Amino acid sequence: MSFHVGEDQQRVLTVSRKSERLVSLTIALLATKRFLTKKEIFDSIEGYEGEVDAKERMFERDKEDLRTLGITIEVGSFDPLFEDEAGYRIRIDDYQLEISNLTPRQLGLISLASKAWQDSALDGTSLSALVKLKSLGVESDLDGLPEISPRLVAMDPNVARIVDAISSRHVISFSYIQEDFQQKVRAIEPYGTGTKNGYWYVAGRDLDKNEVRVFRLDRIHGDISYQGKGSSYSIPEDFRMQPLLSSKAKLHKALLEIRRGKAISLVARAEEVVDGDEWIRVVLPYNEIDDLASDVLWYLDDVRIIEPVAARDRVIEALDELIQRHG
Amino acid sequence: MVKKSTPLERASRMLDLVPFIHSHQGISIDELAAEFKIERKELLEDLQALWMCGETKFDYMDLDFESDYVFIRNADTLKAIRTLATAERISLIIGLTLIESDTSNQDIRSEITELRNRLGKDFESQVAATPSISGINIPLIEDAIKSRRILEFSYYSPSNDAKTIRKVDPLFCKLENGVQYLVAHCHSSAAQRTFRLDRMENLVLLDEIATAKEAIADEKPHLQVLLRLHNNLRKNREALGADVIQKKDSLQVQLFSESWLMRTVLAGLGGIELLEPIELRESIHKRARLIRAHYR
Repeated sequence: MSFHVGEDQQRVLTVSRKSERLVSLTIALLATKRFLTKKEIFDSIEGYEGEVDAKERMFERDKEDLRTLGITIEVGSFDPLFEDEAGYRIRIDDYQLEISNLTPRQLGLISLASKAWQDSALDGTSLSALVKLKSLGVESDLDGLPEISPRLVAMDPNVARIVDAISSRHVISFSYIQEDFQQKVRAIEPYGTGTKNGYWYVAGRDLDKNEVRVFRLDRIHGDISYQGKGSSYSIPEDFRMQPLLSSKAKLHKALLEIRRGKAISLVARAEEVVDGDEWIRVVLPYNEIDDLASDVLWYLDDVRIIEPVAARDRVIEALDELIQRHG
Repeated sequence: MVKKSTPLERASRMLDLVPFIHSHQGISIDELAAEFKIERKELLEDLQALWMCGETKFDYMDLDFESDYVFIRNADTLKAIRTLATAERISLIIGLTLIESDTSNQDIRSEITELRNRLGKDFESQVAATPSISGINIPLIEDAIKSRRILEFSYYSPSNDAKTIRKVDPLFCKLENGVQYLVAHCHSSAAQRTFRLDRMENLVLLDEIATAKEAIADEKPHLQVLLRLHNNLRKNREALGADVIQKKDSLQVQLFSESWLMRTVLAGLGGIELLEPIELRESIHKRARLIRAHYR
């Protein structure tokens, strides 16, 4: 047997010691009928070592860690005569899953939902959710469920950070790429998150502008940081993420001429289509003239704007600039 | 699966193993490791550590895994299933929302609504998810690759502004820069092609056997151009995609398609200027004049 424990082995031991200590602590706090004092905890659980100060700091970190795992520790008074002797325990009602039954089909759906995160940001999170629900003892039944395998692409670690921040009500700050491509630090109280067209978004109250703003995650430069303590704000009752990701209603209409068979995606967005020989005419709703001009020029000489004049002029202006720049 | 767990992840898993084993008495080590998506070795370490934790004066938990099948007794404290953390609820709600988008089956949809409610009414309003890839396509593609059968679908190419029907021998899927692709041998091109999953529609798995040989090495974008941005910086920069290298006062971009470049420069409304190669500069000039002529 070797007396010299290598550095790698030391690290493995430390890792396993900490996880064992956390589990032992959970067992102790769950099993006890009355509150346990710090001294009782230090004396009976392996892993609290060193001076009292060190043990207390370790315990504080452990409590925080258990809180991160969603475990609520109840703090109470151990002895009415010694008011400053705090006691700790975990109530089974706080600890236990409130869902006590699921049908096999429901578990099948949960199983599919969890698979959506395969190899993505919340892979581990959705897996631990799934194993907990599987512990109800029900067998997953995928029969009768449509052949659907939802798949998310969420490789950005910020997705997980945002979900955690929303869950723990932590203010977050990040460096955001503005419209002029310059970076600016923004800080928000995150309220919600979502994905659309492959992009991930976070919405929350911008501390600077004091209103709800939406940010696209691929425009965030670097890691999101947590600011201050958790539970530092509440999410408004009437907050809804879905509408923030929906396309805004288009306020204006343009008349376009499109070469037959071309620009299918524009034709798909059109309100009216009038057929023709070589050219068809469509009425296309839009909001911003620049966006319309951009969309139209993508299709080169297969699409022309007829009305409104302002949009026509914008395209002409853009073409003149292109001609001049590439002259 | 190879990633080492942090102490917190490990503690979380150890706590969850107890109720799982309790309701799956006699499960094999390999099956249990598969359920928790860890290596057999790591599971054995976890079980060993759990066994030691069970030796405290607070709870005598009897864990037996010597025979390669796992049993647990007297786990009165830890056999309770731990409540779902908020992040866990949110992850499931998002997954369920995606399934809902891909089915019109009313039974399933109301089942999903009920499940979302049970997971947490409040969380539902905090998340939104629309799939970029139809969940119906994934099983078809996976099936095609596994059973070596031909896949037929309609494919839209924005660079060519064309929607065509393709028949392919699927080879494998890959994820690049946050986009899912299918690499396959395309019958009409008689060559290997890369297709974006989010542009594939009306997939049909045919009974015909795919005969394509192994995948050849990926084609690198052969066209290198130099550009300069003049305005609408973020919008134009994002339009150029990820394969961009910042030079002193220009951008170097690698691309496959001249057509894509032409359209992107035009759609840039003058804010994107092509510097090199000269021939392409002239092409752009010509094209812009051609389109301009229509507006007299």
